[in-house]
Amino acid sequence: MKRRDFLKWTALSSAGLALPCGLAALGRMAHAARGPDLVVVRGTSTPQIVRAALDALGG
Amino acid sequence: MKRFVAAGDVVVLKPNIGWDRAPQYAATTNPDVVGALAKLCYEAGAKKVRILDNPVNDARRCYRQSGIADAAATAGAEMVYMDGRKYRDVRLDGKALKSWPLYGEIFEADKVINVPVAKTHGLSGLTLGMKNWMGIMGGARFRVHQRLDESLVDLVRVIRPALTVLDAVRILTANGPTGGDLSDVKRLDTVVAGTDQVAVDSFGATLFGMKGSDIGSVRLAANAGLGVMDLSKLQIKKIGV
Repeated sequence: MKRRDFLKWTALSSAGLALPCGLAALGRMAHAARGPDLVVVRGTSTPQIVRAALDALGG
Repeated sequence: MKRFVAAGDVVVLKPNIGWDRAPQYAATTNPDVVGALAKLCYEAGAKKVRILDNPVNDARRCYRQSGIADAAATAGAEMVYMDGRKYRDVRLDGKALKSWPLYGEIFEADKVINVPVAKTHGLSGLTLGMKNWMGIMGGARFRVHQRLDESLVDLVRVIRPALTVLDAVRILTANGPTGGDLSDVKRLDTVVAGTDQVAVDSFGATLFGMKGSDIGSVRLAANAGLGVMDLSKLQIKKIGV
């Protein structure tokens, strides 16, 4: 394998290996941006816990 | 609330007001939870907030005794006395129910928010969010108790609330769904909220020391792909205020 081909092969392989991790990270970021799936709020003021639950779900 | 309610929306809140019981018995949704939600809907720009249930006991007594009529009045929401002419046969094509008369306003509203109370139930083990949909059924609804879990899943296929807020301010730990003995009531001062009604119910089961999989309707709904039962797969945020 020529040096130029070797460098191309290495670059493409590295990108390919990195892609699943990159996609997973993107997925995690998207999930975090969407907010939690469930919110559980505890407190003695009922109106406040309802408001806090809605705020935590993204307003 | 602006994530769920847009300016000009007509919003239906569906609490559990099934019984002629005062709030401290935890047989009905806590009025402060319902009132706070109605207020937040209006703050988000809702045009109208309507609150309804088809109680087992007399609706006027239930609405008043539960404290929800007063909470609605304070928030500017309207209590709806369900009108027999407004049910319509909805095709369900489910495993237990092929069609059933359901209250039309649930489908005509821009947004629906389910607001159940967490309590035990003699037949289903617990009554949480999915079971609360029995309150929009017309006809001989108690017939569905013969195949209750399957019937609830059939309802969940067509009733997709924007949000579920499970009231666990007080939970009824025994002798539900009617209750009547304060020694069965446990104060948790908690609400559980989410868009996945299966997930909310699955978490709700843990408030009683159970798992979601212990509840037939939760298990069947998850198997049908209607939501997530496995809490380890969910991002759950716990907050103290």
